[in-house]
Amino acid sequence: MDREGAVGPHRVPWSFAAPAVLLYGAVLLGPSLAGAAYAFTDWDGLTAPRWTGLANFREFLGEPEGAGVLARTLVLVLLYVVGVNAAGLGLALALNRTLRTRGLLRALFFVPAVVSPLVVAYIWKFVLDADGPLNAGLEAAGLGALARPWLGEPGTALGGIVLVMVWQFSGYHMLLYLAGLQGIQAELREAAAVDGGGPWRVFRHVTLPLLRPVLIIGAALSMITSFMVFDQVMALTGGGPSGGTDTLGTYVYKQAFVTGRYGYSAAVALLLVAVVFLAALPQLRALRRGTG
Amino acid sequence: MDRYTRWSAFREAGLWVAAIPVLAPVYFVAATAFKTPADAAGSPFAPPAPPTPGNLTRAWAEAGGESVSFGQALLNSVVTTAAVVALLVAIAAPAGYVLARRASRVSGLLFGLFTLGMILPVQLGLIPLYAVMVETGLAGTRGGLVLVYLGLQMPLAVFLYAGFFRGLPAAYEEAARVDGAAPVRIFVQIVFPLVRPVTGVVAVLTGLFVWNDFFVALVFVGDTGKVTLPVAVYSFVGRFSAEWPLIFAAALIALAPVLLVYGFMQRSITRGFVSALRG
Repeated sequence: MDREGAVGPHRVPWSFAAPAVLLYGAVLLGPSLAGAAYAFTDWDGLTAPRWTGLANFREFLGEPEGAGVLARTLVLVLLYVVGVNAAGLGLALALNRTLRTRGLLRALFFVPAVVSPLVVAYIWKFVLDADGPLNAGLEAAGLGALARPWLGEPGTALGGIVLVMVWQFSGYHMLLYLAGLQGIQAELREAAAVDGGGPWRVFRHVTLPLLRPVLIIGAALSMITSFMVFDQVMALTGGGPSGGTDTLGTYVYKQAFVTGRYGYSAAVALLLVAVVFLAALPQLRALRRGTG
Repeated sequence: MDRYTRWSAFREAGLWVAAIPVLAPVYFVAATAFKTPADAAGSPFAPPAPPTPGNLTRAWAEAGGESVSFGQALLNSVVTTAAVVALLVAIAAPAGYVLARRASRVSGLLFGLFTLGMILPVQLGLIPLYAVMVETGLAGTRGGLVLVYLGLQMPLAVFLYAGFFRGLPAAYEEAARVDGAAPVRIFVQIVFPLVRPVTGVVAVLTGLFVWNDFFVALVFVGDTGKVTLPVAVYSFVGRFSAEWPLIFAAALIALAPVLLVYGFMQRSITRGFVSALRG
């Protein structure tokens, strides 16, 4: 509120925000509210929607198919959030030191993040194919027993999708943590000097607590993107084998555009928003507490 | 900064080993794109001998499906991305400015709504939005696609701008106001140039999102002459499902512009990110 006083009588006209509000309302907020209403109906997109209350939600959560999709999504999110943030933080710590080729290495690790997820998925489909380089490499190394159609078996397909996502976005998270590390550089050095502790103790007791706000942002960002993942799953497995890698993003799409169950699809999408919101809320709270 | 010791050299070597899994898949694309089908059936690790540009010319000629040529898809991607980035900056920056400079219940509510928008998946409102687009005749048009991208990217852009404007002292604006400058002039000539790092980050994030997006383009301009590169690549893969040399030639054409731009702007992109994230 004090900022208003600082600016004095100078007022920026509300009209500056009008186009942004209109576009956001018309494209995202308004249709989302309409979608939320359809979530409580049985609607095929042609005939009039019929109010069914919570039936869609009960069906999704109550039947093995829906429960499986939800459980699989949670596993994917957990593996991805841990994997991509650990890899990103590790790279950032390693690349925040004096190295001869530091700039080049930073640029290289970021390259996958600028490539279309669809193209990345096709590249990895080739690598993980039954006759692909990975199996060829395993056989050449005398580990042919491990070779398998990685994306064709339910046991390894989901892990394969997570691997591809971590491969693509580790560099993005590296940049996030590099920014964080550079912001705390001075404090870090002083504290470590006073402490006289070894590298692990400095990391555990100085670096990690100071990085907390950036870690929360990294966790929130990776969580939101992985809950809604679509392109990668669609291009890598199409949700197969036999629905074994269908997650919320692909399931919502298929229910709407393949099966034509718009009401049911909207209910699952609304559930997705609720889960993301509930999962992101404590992180945003922690962030406000940490910085405020 | 710490000194470069023998340990540093060891660490540096380790990082290059770690970079192999990053580079290997890129190598497979580049190598396979220049191989003949017979060549590609051999070892994926072998370099193309000799490299043949035939796949690239064939991909260029045939990719994109019935509705569009690959060159047209490339042009569509360029035009759509440029339009979205330019319009988004022009619309989101003044909005973020108001939200940062006005401290009232309304601006707080609007800021909260934009923040909520960052976690709304496009899937939730997809059907109602699609219905409106069909009714207004915007479905299948480039203008419609640009509008959808603008709406989807607006929350993040406004959020970033508002955050940066909050940290910006109002002294310059005050001085200009005392001199009698109108709000629009103050914004265009004084405030906007001061937030160049955020404009850079918004442009890069939005540009990458639009250039790489598959889902939105598939839904709103699929099967029309307005499809962008990822949709063209997708339909291409559907038609030539196991012809990896051809698929990778198409992927390489789609990849090249992004990698070129990244190669030239890599330093300023990294610097912009770091300064905006710290702000």
